[in-house]
Formats: sequence, C-alpha cells, structure tokens
Amino acid sequence: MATVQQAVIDFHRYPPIGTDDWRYGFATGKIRCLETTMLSRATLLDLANAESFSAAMDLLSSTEYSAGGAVESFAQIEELLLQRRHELRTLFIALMQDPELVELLRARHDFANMRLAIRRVVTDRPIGLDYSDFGSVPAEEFEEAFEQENYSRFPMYLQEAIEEAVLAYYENKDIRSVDYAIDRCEAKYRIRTSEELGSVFLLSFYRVRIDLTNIRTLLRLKAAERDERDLFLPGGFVEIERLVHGLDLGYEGLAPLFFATPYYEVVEGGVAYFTTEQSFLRLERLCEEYLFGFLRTTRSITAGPQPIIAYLLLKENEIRMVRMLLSAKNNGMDAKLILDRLGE
Amino acid sequence: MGIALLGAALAAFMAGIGSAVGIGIAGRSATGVLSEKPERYGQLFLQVVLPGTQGFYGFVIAFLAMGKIYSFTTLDISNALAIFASCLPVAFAGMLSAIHQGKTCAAGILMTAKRPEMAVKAGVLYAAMVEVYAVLGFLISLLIQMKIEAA
Amino acid sequence: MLENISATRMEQLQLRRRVELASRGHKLLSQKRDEISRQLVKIAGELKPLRQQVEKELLETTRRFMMARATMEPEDMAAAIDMPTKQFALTIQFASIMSVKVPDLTKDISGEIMCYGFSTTSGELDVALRALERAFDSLIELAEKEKQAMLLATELQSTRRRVNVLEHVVIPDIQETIKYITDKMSEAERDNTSRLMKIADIIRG
Repeated sequence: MATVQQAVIDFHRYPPIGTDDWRYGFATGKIRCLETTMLSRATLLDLANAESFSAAMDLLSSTEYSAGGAVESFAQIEELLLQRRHELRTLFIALMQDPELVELLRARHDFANMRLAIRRVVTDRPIGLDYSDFGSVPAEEFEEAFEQENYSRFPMYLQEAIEEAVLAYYENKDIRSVDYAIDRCEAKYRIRTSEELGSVFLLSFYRVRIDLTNIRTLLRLKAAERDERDLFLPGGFVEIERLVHGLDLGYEGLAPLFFATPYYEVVEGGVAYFTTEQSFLRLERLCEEYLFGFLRTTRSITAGPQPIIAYLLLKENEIRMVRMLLSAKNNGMDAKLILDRLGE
Repeated sequence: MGIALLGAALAAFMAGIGSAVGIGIAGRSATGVLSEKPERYGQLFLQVVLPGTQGFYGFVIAFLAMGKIYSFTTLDISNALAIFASCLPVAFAGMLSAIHQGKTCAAGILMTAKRPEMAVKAGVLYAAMVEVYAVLGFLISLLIQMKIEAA
Repeated sequence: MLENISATRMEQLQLRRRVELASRGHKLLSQKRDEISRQLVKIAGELKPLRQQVEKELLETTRRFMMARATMEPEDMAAAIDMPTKQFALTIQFASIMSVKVPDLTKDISGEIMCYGFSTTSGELDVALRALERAFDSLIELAEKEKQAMLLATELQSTRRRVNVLEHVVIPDIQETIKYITDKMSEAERDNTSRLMKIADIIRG
C-alpha cells in the first residue's frame, strides 16, 4: 500500500492552481457569463430574512429557481432543484475537454454509490434505490455485479475499494468500517490520479478537501469522545501526526496546533463556536468558505478547466443553499440559525 | 537575393501565425461569452480583432521588402542581409505580441462578461498597450528598410 | 326500598352491619382517592417540564437535520442514515400504583448512533443524531408517565364515583331504612304495650 507523500505547505493562503489551458477558451468564456447569473450573497441573505416561504419564493421568481406558478408541495421544489443540478452537471460534462478529469470528478459519486451498495450487500439487504446518477458506473449495474461477484466491469479504483471495504467489514463486523475503508481508498485515488494527470489545481483541491475533512473528523471525534486514531485520511497538507496529536489536546489547544497552517482561522472560529453552542455550524461554514475561497482564486485563470470545475462546485453549493433556505422557511425556522450557517 | 526573400517571408508568416493564434484565443473566449450574452457582440468585436493588426504589419513590411528587392538590379550580400535584418523586428515582435495580446484580449473579454462598462477602459486599453510593442517593432523594421540604398 | 322491607330486628341487625361496612369502605375509598390524586399531581408535575423538554429536543433535532442537509447532497444523506447500527429494544412490565396496573417501560439501547463515515457527512448530522438519542430517552419516559397519568386519572374518576355513591346514596339510604325499621318496631312495641294495657284493664275490670 503506497502512502501518498505529505506535501509541504509552501503557500500563504491558498495552494497553487496551475496555469492556463487555451483549449478551454470557449468554455471559460461561457462560464464567466454564467457566473454573473449566480445568486449574490445579498440575495441569499434576503432569502434568509424573508418573512415567509412565499415571500422567499417571490424573491427567487426572477432567477432560474423560479417555480413558475403556485407551489403545491415542497417535493415540487426538491424536484426543481434536482433538475437544476442535473442541467448543471450535463453542462459541465459538455464543457470539459479532458474525459480523465471528468472521470476523476465523477468518481466521488461512484464511491458514494459503492459505499451504500456495499453496506446493503454485507447486511443482506436489497440493493435498492437512492443512488446518485452522476457516477461513471450506472447504479443499475450494481445488483448484477454483486450477485455474480464479478466486479471486472467496474474501473480499477472501484474494484480496489470494494475489496478493501468488504475486508474491513468482515474484520470487525462494523458497518462503519466500510465507509472508513472507502474514504481512504477515495482519498488515495484522488491524489494519485490528479498527480498522474498532472493537474496542479485538482491536486491542490483534493489536498485541501482532505485537510478540511480531517479537521472536521478531529473535532467530531472529540465531540463524540471516541478514541479511534486511524480515521484520518492520508494525502493532505497537514501531517496525520499533527491531527492525531490534536486528539489528546483540549479544545483550547487545537487552534495553536494549526497555527502554522492556512487553516488556523477555520479551526479557531469553529472550535470557539462549538464550545459555546455545541454545534458544528460555524466550523462547517468556515471550512466551506475556505474551500470556496480557494475555488475563487481560479478567477485569475483566463482559460482552463479550473474555472469550470470551480463553477460546478460553487453552483452545486448554491443549489444546496437554496434547498436549505427554502426548507428552513417552509418549516418556519428562525432566521438566526440560518444566518449562523450562512455567515454574516 | 534568397536571404532577403527569406526575411520578407519570415515577416509575413511569423506575424501572421501570431495574429492567427491571438485571434483564435480571443475568438474562442468571445464565442463563449456570446453564447450566453449575444448582445455583447459590439463590445467584444474590437477585442477580438486587435491581435489581427500584427499580421498586417508583417504583411506591409514583407511587401515593402519585396519592392526593395526587385527594385535593385544587382543585390549584393550586405544589402540582402540588411533587408533580412529589417524584417526580423516585426516578425518576432509581431508574433509574440500577437499571441500575448490574444491572451490579454481573452482576459478582457471575460472581464467584459462581468463588467461591461469596463470593456473599453481596461479591456481594449490593456490590449492596446501590448500593441505598442508590435508597433515599435514595425517602425524599426520600416526605418531600417528606408535606410537601405542601392550600393 | 322502604316498601319491601320486613321490619324485623333481624333485618335491622343486618342493615346495621351493612352500614358499618359501607362506612368503612367509604373511609378506605376516600383514602385511596386522596392517595391517587396525590400521585397524579406528582406525575402531572413531572409531566409538564418533561413534555416541554421533549418538544424542545425534537424541534432542535429537526433543525439540525435541516442544517446538516444543507452541506450534503440528498443522496449522501439518504445513504448515511440508510443503515442504522443502533439496536433498540423495548420491554413493557406492569407495576402497580394503588392497585392500578401501570406500564413500566424498560429500554435496551445498544450500538453507536453514528453509523457512517466522515468524509461525505456533515458534523451537524452527528449533533442531530445525538440530540435525537437524548430525545428518545426522554420520549420513552414521557410516554410511560403519560400512560400512567391517564390510567390513574381513570381510576381516580371511578373511585371518586364510588365514594360519592357510598356517601350520598348507599349510606343515607341504609340509615333511613334502619330508622324506618326502628320507628316501625317502636311503633309495634307501643302498639303491643297499649294492647297489653288494654287487656290488663279488661281483666281488672
């Protein structure tokens, strides 16, 4: 098992994103235009402060999230948002000129589907539904493949993940081991593949993702008072030893631990909010803000896959935000909690 | 004679390549923007054609050089070399500046997508600054050629 | 009642015993009533804050779930909570408060409530599930207490009715009958006496 080299932090705020790729001129131009139609922060805040669900829907009436008429049930909104997401992903695939990069990004959904399928298979339950339709391998093929135990139709990285996950489950019969094993395989696959493809941007992106996941895992383990030390993912910028060491420290010792990393503010703000409110809201928000800050640095790219990937991720987040805001409004949740999540 | 013609050819095709690449880059960005906002066509047009000027400079220099070459009854080696040399500034400055101007224009076009009011102020002006160095190369090529007299 | 009473000493004795029994029963039942209402007040007092607490916790849980959904794709959410690892068993026993059978719930919860890995899930989901776990404890307690209160209240009602019947109907009735018999008997006595006096007069005269 080859472990990925931990990279040194040789950047100030955000890791490098690579250079222009002039084949993407058209795509980048299109994306820059589409970016102007994204909901502004002010609109999101207005939504959070909207008086009622219908007022919120009115605010959205001139955007692509307009329901176009009376909303009978919330399921209608869900359907609309899923449709927008599907359109976004179709556009993304159309604009990307490197199928390898697309496969790497879609692998997230393959791994997620696999996670669910294996959990169902090892507990002798039907393969069932709830799979993401954005993976490279269609979910309909799962049932047959697992029945015949013939995984050769899956890409190599998935075969490896299946093997490790099933092995991990039978070691201690804990359903969570499946997730942990697949998470680790996924992290390794991402780092390895983006190195092979020579994509500076995706390598940085996945490293940041792994770091942020590890930081969240650290805090969540502490909150649940669990003492597993082998759940951190390899491949990030922050060394695993540092994270493991964090488990032994008190909450007040966490921020100094990350002092020399770009995540200092994330950890500091997140931990402070957690100790007073017993909630991860701010940590989640700060992680997200850091990640999106990194994605926004792709603005300096005039042509390249970076702005397109960034747009996909930012737009997916926007759709999630709209769902959160609308369902919060639909259930009459107070604005304070929403604003805590959304940020000032 | 051959070396002088080589110079003229260099001026035409290097500057031409540069312009083609530059317009290609700017054009792709522009079509991307236009696919979403067709009403921006007018603003973007100037930025797309700007990298094309270098090709013209190269063409003009090549044309003048050819005129010089055929106006001499006998072309000695020093004059041939001089004509060759006179073509180099526009060839290199033209080609490289056109490519970079194309990139600058592409960036300007993307900016125009977000801030149309800045299209002329920043987009065209910055690209025009790259143009200056192509013009300088063109001028030097022109001046050198004018000094070449029949021996 | 008074019509078909045979006014005999035997009957009177029987009635006296019945009234004694009834008043003893009345005393006992009213003591029971007092005790049940005391218990009920106690349970009701606990019930109110418990109910508020459960409602608050459940509200909190739904909020957290909503927030958790904001950072997760719908598929990930479904996948994360698809496979619960928590085992939950509930056994009902019956305890007796003042001879009222009330349910006594014992729960047996084992396993970890967080049944998913970390990378695709939000920390808010942890918080939501743990809040749900806590809410469950109180929820079961609440169900148990509410059922107890309900059963006790029914029992209290019937006891009160019995006490009232004894106090206002049975005992006065019997006492009236006794009085009637006493009257009747003393009437008969007087009747007898006067008859004897009359006979004595005739004999003397």
